[in-house]
Amino acid sequence: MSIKTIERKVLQKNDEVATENRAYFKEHGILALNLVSSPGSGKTSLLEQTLRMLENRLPTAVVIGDVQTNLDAQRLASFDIPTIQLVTNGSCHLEASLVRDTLSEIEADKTKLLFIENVGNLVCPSNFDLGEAMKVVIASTVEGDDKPLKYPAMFRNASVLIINKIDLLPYVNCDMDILRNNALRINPSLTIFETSCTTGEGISGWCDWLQQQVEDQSWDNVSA
Amino acid sequence: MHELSIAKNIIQLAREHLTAEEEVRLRTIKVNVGTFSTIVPAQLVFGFEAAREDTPLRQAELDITMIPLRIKCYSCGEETEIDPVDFICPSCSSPNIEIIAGNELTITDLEISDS
Ligand SMILES: Nc1nc2c(ncn2[C@@H]2O[C@H](COP(=O)(O)OP(=O)(O)OP(=O)(O)O)[C@@H](O)[C@H]2O)c(=O)[nH]1
Ligand SMILES: [Mg+2]
Ligand SMILES: [Zn+2]
Repeated sequence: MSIKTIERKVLQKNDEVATENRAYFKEHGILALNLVSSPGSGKTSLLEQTLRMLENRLPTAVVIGDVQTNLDAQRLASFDIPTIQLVTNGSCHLEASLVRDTLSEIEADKTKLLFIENVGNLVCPSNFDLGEAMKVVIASTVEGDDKPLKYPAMFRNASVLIINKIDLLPYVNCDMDILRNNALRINPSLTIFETSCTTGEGISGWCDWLQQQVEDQSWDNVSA
Repeated sequence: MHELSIAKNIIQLAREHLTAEEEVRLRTIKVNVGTFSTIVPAQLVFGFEAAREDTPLRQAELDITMIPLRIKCYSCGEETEIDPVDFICPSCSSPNIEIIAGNELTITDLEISDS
C-alpha cells in the first residue's frame, strides 16, 4: 500500500470563486447579502417589502436561487431592478460559480446592494461561501424559538438575524425572549431585526440599517 | 442533501492527484470532517458510494475522521472543546471566542494498493 498525503480543502474551488466574487463586490462598492432560511420563512416576502421601501433610495439587484421554477423572480418582476433567477435543478444550495455567472447581468457601477436569496434550507448553504459580505438568516415565529439551537452553524455564521412573522406571535408557540437569547447564545454579535412582511412592522428599521451599511461601506470590516 | 455534491468534489479532487493507473487501485480516501461542518458522515458515505459508480474509483472507500469543535478564548487564552450550542469559554464564561477546529472538510490522504 502506498499513501499520498494531499491535505486539500474539499470545497477549495468554491472558496476560490467566492473570493473572486468578494473582490469584485468590493471593487465596485456593492454590499452583497446572502439570505438564508428554512423554506417559507419569508425571504421573498422580505425582499418585496425591502425593495418597495428602498425604491429610489438604493440601486439594488436580486439573485434568487430555487430548486425549481422561477415563481420567486416573478413575484419581484414589478420592481424596476435586475432580478436574476437561478434554478439549481435539485441542488439544495447555491454555489459561488452560479453567482459569478450572473454578475454579467448586473451593471456593477450602478448597483450598491445585491440580495442573493439562497435555496430555502438551514443546513446545506452554510458550507458554500458565495462571496457575500454577510449572511442574513431569517427565522419566522411559526418555526418556534429553538431554531438557533437546532441549526447552530447557520446562526453562528450569520451576521444578521431577522425574526419574521411577528404579526403571528399571538397565535404561535414562540417566546421572543427565548428566541433572541438562543440566537445570541450561539452568536453574541448578531444584529437582530424583528419584522412582519404582512403589516410592514420593522421593515423601515431594517432598510435604514441597510442604507447606513452601504453609506459607511462598513461591511469591509465584517469577516466572511 | 449537499453531501452528494460534496462527495463529487472529493472524487474530483482525489483524481487530480492520481494517474489513471492509480485511480483503479485507490482503496481509501481519508477525510477530516468537523463536527460543526453540517456534514452528516453517513450521508457523505452514501453520496460517495453513488458518486463513485461512474468513475474508475469503484474500489475506493471513504475513511472519515470526525474533528470536534474547539475554541480559543480571547479573554483567558484557554483552548477547549465545546458543545455546538454553548459558544462561551468553559473556563471564564467569556463569549469572546474563536473557533479553531470543527469546521474542517479536507482530504488528507489517498491510500493506493500495490496491485
Ligand atoms: N403572517 C405572515 N405571513 C408571512 C410573513 N412573511 C411571509 N409570509 C407568508 O409566508 C409564506 C412564505 O413566504 P415566502 O416569502 O415565499 O418565503 P421564502 O422564504 O421566500 O420561501 P422559499 O423561497 O420557498 O424558501 C407566504 O405565504 C407569505 O405570504 C409575515 O411576516 N407574516
Ligand atoms: Mg422565496
Ligand atoms: Zn476564557
